[in-house]
Amino acid sequence: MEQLYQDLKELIVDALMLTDLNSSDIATEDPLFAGGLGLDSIDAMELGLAVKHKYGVRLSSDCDVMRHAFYSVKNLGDFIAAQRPSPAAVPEQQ
Amino acid sequence: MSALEFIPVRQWLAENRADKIVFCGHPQDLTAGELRRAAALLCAQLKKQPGQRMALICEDGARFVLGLLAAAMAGKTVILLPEGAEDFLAEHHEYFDAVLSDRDYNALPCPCTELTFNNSLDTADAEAAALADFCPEELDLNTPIVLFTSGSTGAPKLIEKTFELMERESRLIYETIGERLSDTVLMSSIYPQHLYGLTFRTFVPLCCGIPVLRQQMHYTEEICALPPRRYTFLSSPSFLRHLDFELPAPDIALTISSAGLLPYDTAFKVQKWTRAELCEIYGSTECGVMGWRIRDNPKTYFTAFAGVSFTMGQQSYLLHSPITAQEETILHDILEFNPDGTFKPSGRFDSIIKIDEKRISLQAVKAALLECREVEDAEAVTYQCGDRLFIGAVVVLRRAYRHPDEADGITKMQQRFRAHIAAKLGYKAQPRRFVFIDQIPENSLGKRVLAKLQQYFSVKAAC
Repeated sequence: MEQLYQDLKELIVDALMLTDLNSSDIATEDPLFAGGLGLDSIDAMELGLAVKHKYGVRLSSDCDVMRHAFYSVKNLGDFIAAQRPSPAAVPEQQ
Repeated sequence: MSALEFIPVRQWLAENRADKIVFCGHPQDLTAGELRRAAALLCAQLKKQPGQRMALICEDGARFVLGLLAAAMAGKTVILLPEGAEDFLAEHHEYFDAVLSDRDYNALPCPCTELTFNNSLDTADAEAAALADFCPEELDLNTPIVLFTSGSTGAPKLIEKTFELMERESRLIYETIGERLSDTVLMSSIYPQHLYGLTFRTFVPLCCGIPVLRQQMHYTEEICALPPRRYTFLSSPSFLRHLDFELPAPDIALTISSAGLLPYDTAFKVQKWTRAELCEIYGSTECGVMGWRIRDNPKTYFTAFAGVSFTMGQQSYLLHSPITAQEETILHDILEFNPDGTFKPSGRFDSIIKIDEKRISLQAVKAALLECREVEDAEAVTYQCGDRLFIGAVVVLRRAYRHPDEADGITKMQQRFRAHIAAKLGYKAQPRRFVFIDQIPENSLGKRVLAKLQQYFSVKAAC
């Protein structure tokens, strides 16, 4: 999961063009929006599109579910991980 | 002329419309009769509450109208703030005496009343009396509704509307585009307490008699999951630009965009996605609606609404409009006119800018930065990144703060600056980037050249 969190931080910096920020400046459990990064609802839409394109996940139509998923890098990572097949379920390639 | 009948404000909740569904969606549909009952009980409660100015803050369109009508009928002044964040409200608490909201604001030093349709009074007799007393057919149409916008000094500029002005504006819109709204449900990504939301999400649909979806839309998946109905989609350029056009669109009969100019490529994509017309509205908080255009080609200019005209003033235009309280209103937008009178805005005469449809004064951002103890000098400029406009702050720190002890000291300092600006001016006014320098550069005449400051952001942005 740590690698996914790190990848997400880099995606946030790239997709939202936070050019002064290093991915290490983003704390995994801190709020992404209405917090210190200065991100807003339009950033949330941009990040949603970037996450869909990169990870192929589907966003829920339930606003409360998505608010929770986009609350922090940790929540977003968990949301993406929950939609990925678990390693045990993926058949090994011959 | 529209097939819809125009319903004056005093008739919205009339007894003969009691079964008419005025709001639909989550958590349940509401009839005019149910809204009338809840407003009557809330009105009785508010009449006993001290304080004249009620800040109304909520996303649910039905609860918003509940608060609006109950407060007005109780003789209160409704205050519509641009932000609902608690730190913003705390910073601006001198502008209101109480809050009406669907959120919990327990930390604020004033009464906060929850807007709910399950409200009740202490006794059945009290409820019967409240229902008998409540007569929206006699609403004083001069009751004020106060909105906030950004002034050039940083202090909020208060704009006073009345129910009468809003009704006049709604009639003008009804007579111009009303027929396009027939048989639709209004669905919106706009907050009801913004003027554009107040006009198009509350007054226009209620005056045109079309139902309004209660919940606000935040992203494409929510829109695509709506129950199958024909919708009028009320939105803004920044929201429309970020729609996911790969998802299947619901049945949208008309898109209305306002609060900023919509680039034609976005208008084209939206019309292709919805297979429906897009109507763009030109207006402002002070002036109300001024022009409209159907974006059927890139060169279409705005047509002024009936009775609206402009004359050139000193570094401004003077607006003459049937929907403003005064005969002339100063307009700081620069307008380009065609010989036939159609027009388009092409910038501002002053230093007010728009970030994602919110009007922001760069002078106010600078002033807020200068209030931070670490800041000796500062300027705020705009820079373009991709298709978005951001605020960049050029800051000179006081010597004592130039070399923070902690490794992440600068990051934390930026976060403090952003939090301070958000509380003062709203979250859209937060600079996206900060540049720290030893001295603000000046030209040979000792003046600051903003274009030069903007270069700090164009070099590194690389977007």
